[in-house]
Amino acid sequence: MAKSSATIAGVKVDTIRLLLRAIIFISIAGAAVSSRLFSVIRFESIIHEFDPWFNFRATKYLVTHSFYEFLNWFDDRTWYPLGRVTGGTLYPGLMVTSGAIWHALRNWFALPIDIRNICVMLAPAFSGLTAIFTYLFTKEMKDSNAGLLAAIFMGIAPGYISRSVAGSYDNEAIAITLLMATFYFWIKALKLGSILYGTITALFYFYMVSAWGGYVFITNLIPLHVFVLILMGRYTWKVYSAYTTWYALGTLASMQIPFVGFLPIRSNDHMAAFGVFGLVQLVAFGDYVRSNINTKQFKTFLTVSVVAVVLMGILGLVALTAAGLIAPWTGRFYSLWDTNYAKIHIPIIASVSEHQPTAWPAFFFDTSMLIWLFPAGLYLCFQELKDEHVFVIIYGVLCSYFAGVMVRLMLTLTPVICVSAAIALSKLFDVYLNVVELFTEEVEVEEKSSKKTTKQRGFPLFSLLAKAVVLLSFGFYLFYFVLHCTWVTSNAYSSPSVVLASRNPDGSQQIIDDYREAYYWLRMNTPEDAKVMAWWDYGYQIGGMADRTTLVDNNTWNNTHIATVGKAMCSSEEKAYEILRQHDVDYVLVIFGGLLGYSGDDMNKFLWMVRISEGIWPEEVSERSFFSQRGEYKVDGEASPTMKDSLMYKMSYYRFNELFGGDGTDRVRGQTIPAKNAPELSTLEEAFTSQNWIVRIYKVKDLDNVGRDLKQAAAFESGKKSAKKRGVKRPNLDIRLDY
Amino acid sequence: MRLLPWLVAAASALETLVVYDSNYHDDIESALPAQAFGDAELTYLDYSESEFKLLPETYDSVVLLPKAKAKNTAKTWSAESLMAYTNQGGNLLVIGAADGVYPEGVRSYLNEIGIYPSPKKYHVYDYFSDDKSALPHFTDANLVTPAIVSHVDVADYHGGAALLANNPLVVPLVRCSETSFCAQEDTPMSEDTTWTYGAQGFAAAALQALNNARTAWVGDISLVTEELVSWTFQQRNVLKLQFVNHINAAEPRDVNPQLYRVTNDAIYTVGISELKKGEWVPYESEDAVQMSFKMLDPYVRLNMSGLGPVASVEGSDDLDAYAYSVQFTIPDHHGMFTFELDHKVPGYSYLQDKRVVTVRHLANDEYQRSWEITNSWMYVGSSALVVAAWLLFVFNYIYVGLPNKAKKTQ
Repeated sequence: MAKSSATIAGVKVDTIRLLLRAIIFISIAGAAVSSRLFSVIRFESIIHEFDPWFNFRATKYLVTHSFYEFLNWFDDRTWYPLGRVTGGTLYPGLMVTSGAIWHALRNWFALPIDIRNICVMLAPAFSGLTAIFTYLFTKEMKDSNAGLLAAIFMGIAPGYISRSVAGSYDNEAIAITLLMATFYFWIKALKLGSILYGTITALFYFYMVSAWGGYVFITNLIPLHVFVLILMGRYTWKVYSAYTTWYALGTLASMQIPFVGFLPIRSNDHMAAFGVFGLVQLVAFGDYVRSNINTKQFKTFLTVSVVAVVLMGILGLVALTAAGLIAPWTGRFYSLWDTNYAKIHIPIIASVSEHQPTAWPAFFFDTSMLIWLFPAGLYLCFQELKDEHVFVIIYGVLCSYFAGVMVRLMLTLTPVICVSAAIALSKLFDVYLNVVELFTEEVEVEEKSSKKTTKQRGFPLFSLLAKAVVLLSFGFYLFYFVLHCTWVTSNAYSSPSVVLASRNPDGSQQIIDDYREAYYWLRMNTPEDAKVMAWWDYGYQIGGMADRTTLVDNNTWNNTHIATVGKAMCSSEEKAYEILRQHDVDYVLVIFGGLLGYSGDDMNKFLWMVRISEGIWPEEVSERSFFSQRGEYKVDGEASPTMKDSLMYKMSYYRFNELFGGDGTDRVRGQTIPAKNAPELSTLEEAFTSQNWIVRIYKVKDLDNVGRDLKQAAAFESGKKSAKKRGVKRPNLDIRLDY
Repeated sequence: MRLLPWLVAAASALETLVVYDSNYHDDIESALPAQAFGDAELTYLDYSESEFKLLPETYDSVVLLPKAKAKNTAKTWSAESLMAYTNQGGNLLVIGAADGVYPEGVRSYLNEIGIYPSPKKYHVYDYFSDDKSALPHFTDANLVTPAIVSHVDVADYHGGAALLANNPLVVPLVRCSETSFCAQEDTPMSEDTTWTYGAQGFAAAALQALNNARTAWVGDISLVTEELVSWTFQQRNVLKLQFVNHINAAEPRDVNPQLYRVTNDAIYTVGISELKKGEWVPYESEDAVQMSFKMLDPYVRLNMSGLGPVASVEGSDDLDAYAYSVQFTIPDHHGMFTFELDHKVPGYSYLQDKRVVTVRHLANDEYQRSWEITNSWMYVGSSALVVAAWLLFVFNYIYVGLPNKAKKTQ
């Protein structure tokens, strides 16, 4: 290519190139942002799903209070009556980011924007930044052409969009940006051996730690990279200065986040980084020794010291773990290696759908054609195999495994797929787009062969044709990729899940807004300090939308408390009433999809409640007793007595038959609910049922005024006891226990 | 809704309704023991009167007398109506008789709260009694709850007895002797015909509902004493929680703060009054008044000490309440705690109060600083030493080490 001296129409080529690049970047950012706006256009500017509601609430707290108060926030409206040390148990990066944007816009630009809109639009805005950092990262791998391809892939790949559509105000929204930024600066630091870049890496690492629990991935990936480099004999002073700078500063910085605290020196998840830090010191020392003594002495020195160090390291780790000084691996970590671990030992982890193993079509669904370009890219990396390529290979291999184990880790795999697919594709384009070379080569061939034969024609038709076919087909693939991404984004990832959309028989759209209807009812009709019990999925939403105290929420830090709620849901009314009284519960909220055919309802999650509470009270709750005699999960006439007695069953199907005037049909489970022996409630009374019956709210009754049990009181109210009796019969009473 | 008992008690005059059956009582006014009802203003009403709605606003107490026949009563006296009356705070005194019956509604109301009186013609007999008639003689030895009835002396008791269910709100008043039984005259003892055996039977019982509405039942009018009537009509043993305060001992100006911090000292104070002759006077409890500070389980449960009479209204000279107080250290555990007062003494109004407060954790700047902890001095010192050594090394490397190296290379 021509150097800077070349001009086109009097303008330097470099200037044009810069201009083009800027335009491309703006277009990429535009595409990335606009494809994430489906949800806002279809529905409205609303916070999505579950976790974002908590982040939104925390952000509101931050902008209405001081940072000091936010840091020491004790939230008395969740986990009643335990409360949550929220300031110390969240990753504040996301809230601080949007808080800072809010303050900056208001104070510097005099633009008072509603904090909700900032929260809704944060993820799309950051996806534009992610594209830029992906560009920079890939540029370090190959060149800027690959970088641009990677940027556009990253901009529209559904795997990343799934967590960053407008309204998906989650930690991952900014974490992926920070992940790519940290990796970019790490590669930069490694290449240059620069303490400055090492420091910047540490800074971005700190930002990442403050934003997402997934920072542990970086904490392990960078040491692994260094470790592999050392094993490959590629240790240089650059590795030393980059790694030690990052590790020392990054670790100290990460310990400033209250939630992380002393984990970097106590938890096993962080031990790899610490170990490699030690190893690098040893290797540096060895390097120094080698430069001072002869080879033979050095070999003995090496063998002895390697064996000693390995032994000491392993023994030390085991001893410290046994002594309890290092926290053992967490359950989520084990479930990364053994996909059945969670199912057996920690049902609460297994119950989360995003912790399930990935189904293989999901890979194609989330990354389309990139998934098969990905190995090609890795292969090309192997061919070149510079230090930074090793990084991409390790990243790719590790993440492919993790993404296969847990659906949510698709998210961390997507960037490396984009990068290596871009490398592969740009390599392909390098070869096939280069028509000029074809001609120049041709000339050479002609010169050589002209003496032998005159048959050779001047125009390389077949080569051109071959190139054209390849280019056209890849052009089509790219076109198809864009179509696929847009389709997936608009159809699968743009539903707020708070508001549901369905189609009427005539094709017109119908919005099902039961959740907000019910939460609004709670907000307007219940006392401000009312305690609402619901399964933990809805905790954040109740806190965010209804502003009522909840017993458990999506921050599943206390398994026992969740199991208590599960036990209340799956035991009989009398037993449940004791739990409800003990926890001062005023309202119980259940999600029921039987009328509409909404499958994500509580009856379908019910077995998880049973399993989780069985984990804590195995002698009181048994999963088997909730199945019918033939071992099926039945809610119809064949349902087991325990099932029919359970509070959840009663709350779900209470007065369900009245809708049908006879046997009712549960459209989710496709079973008939018999009108005979319809569930009756004596300790709860129906307070609210939403339009499509998705949300049902029950009020917990007070103790009976004259000291009867509530079942008797309810029977008296309904007039069943007042049946006329002839004569007076002596009652059969228990012996009175007098004090 | 539960009416507060003192609202009922503080109503100007005691409006009492006496419901009777003209077929059973010829002269109702002489049938009632006048001295027992004291200054209560009695209004008489026949059971057959159907145009009447039972409301605590019109009559705060109702006396229900026995009837000749169980059937044909107005709907006003159905169990549902009586239950509603109790739930709204009205007081009931149900009087039985061996030769009369309870109207159906009244009986099923009594059964509902756990009192099962014997039917018509059932008597309590006690052949071991000193009396020749084999009718029992109730004395103070038969009393169970002296807070309500402290004295009784009824010879030749003519009424029946009742079985009591395990309702904790029902307190027995007069227990039959162990040698007694309740049956019809001249019937052999059997499972079906004998209503109660021995101490299983009670001649009088009372219920104080959670809203402090009172219901008393006696098997015969001879057991109706002034003590019992004044208790039932909320003239005695009526307590009122005048105020509940909790403060952080460190910041006494802030009354009832919503937020505490772990290991704060809290002071919890309550003022309790008792109604005496229509006036609120300080109530000095014989039993300990207990409070607890709980989160699911009580973390603290303490007896409060009496401080003496105080005025329940700030700035008033009228010392109408007795203050109880306790100071304790909030447990080192954060969460939503409840200051709970649950004072339930049989025969007295229930006192209940719950205040949920938040106990927060230590803020990030409320811990000791490192230099205040002597243990940390070694670590702080050694890290300072490392920093100093590093600076020294750098200085040495750059400035001191260099000439030597230069010399060597030369």
